[in-house]
Amino acid sequence: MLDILLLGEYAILIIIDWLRGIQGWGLPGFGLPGTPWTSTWFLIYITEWLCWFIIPIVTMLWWRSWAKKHPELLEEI
Amino acid sequence: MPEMGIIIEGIIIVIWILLIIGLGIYSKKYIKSSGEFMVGGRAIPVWMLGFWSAGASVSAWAFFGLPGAIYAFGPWQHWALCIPMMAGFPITVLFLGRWMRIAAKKYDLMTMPDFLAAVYGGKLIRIFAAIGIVIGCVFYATAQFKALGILLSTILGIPYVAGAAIGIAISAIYIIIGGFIAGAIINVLNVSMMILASLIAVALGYIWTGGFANMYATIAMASGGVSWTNQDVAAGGAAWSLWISWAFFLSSFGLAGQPQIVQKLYGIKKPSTLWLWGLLGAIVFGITCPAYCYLGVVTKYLTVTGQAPNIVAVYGSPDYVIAWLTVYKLGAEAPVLGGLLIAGVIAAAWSTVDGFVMMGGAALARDIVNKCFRPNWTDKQLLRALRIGMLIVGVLMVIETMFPAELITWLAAIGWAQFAATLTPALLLATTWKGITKWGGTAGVLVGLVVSAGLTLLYRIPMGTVRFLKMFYLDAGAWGMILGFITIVIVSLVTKKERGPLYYDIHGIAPPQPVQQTITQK
Repeated sequence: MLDILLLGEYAILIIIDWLRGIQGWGLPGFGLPGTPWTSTWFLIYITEWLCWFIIPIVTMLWWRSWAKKHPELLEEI
Repeated sequence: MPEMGIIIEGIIIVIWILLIIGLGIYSKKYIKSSGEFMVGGRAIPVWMLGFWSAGASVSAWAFFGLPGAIYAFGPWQHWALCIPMMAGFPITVLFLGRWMRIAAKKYDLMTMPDFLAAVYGGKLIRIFAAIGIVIGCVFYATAQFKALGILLSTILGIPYVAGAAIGIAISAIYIIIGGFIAGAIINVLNVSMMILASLIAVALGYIWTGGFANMYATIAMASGGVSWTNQDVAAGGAAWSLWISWAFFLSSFGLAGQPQIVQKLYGIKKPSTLWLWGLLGAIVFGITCPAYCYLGVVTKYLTVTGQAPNIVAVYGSPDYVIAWLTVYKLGAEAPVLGGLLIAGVIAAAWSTVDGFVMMGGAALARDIVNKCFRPNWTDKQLLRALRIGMLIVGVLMVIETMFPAELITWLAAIGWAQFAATLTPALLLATTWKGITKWGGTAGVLVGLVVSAGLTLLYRIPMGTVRFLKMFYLDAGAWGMILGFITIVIVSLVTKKERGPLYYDIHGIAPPQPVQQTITQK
């Protein structure tokens, strides 16, 4: 959940909801009126965490440090 | 009808269009060779290309088509189609980026078929890849033109065909005068406008709906709301979830086969900055695409609360969701913001469409005719042929746009699927598996091309009997991509170990004598 607190517009909108005193994660049935969701939509939180945070930021920073260690592998052949 | 608001929106749009075309004319004087036209002389700053690639991946599909599809079919498409594409940028850098860039000068790489031919060897793989690219370009660009047509027809109150014709005419001026350099400069502006538009969209959406939680709770409690929010599981249960994971795979790894996004890697000035392309592409996409998905949900909220008409019932297609929102809702309440949002849609379409026309033209003129049949062309002849190739592809796009049989999101899905099925398996295996061979790669590209194009054709024939095969058009690409991978592996295992010269560079293996001679000649 860390990434949705820091990144992504939906996370920011949820935080604004919290600041206005509206609790929950934006999912009907989970702290909100309405039938609890059974859909796969909740997977957005997992995919955002993976695709917003882990894959781009972690892998590209790793690649950057690898590139600094091996500049010879990044020269034109 | 908010006429004054529409006039204000129109003025903003005209200023935006003139600004972009003016920049295109200004940058034309810098284009003197085919290399500058196609890859900007390999001297474009990485941040510019990151912006451009992100803009090409978002396109009018995400700004126009996706909100409409979410409005009609439910919000699951946000996680299944939009978000995984973010991961595609770093995946491309990790598996492909380094070799595409550092081998570019030595092997004169400008297109994706160039790379495949250099790794696998032979002319056939180049021809098959180029055919797949032309098909993908036509459908993907048609999605952009259709978005422009719907938008302009709604603003001007004219029929769709007339709106589409105006959109195509303006786009043609923009494309023909420029090229890669013009594209890079203009697209920084375009993508900046897209980011601004997406932030405006999110802020307005929050105000209109009374909050994120309130929006979903209201939809869920409205008539039909539960089935809309749960439409994915209702449609197919666990099988659907499994299938949609397949779409997730195609959306993420499939990005590596999208020439309009990945081919820009050839233009990066310093190979060591590739990581920034991957990061910027993902972040810009991650800011803009989810914002547009949000607009689809916001419009659904407006409909269930009686503030918007039922778009599908009134206009006959969910593609009109953003057109209604920008022209009628914002035209009445905040026309300046509406104008900026519409400029964002035009920016999204143009940041992609130039790439497709250029890519399709290059596939015909350079990859097929020049590289396979007319190798002695001068650069001037090639540049002229490129422009003719672009014209041919443009005509195909116009024909498809004037007969819009599909929703915008499905047109884009056909293009994405075709690229992914034709190119992704051969590209990813080129750098990761030592066992590939010339005939393995050639057969894999052919299978991906034929399966994806063939299934797409079957889906479009109104027979009913074959439609049970598909959920939507990405199915065709998913089958093509998986079968492409399998074909490359099987055929490579049983065929002679012939490869192209770049294969030996990538895997650090001494080439056999004839290949060694080819490398020396290069």
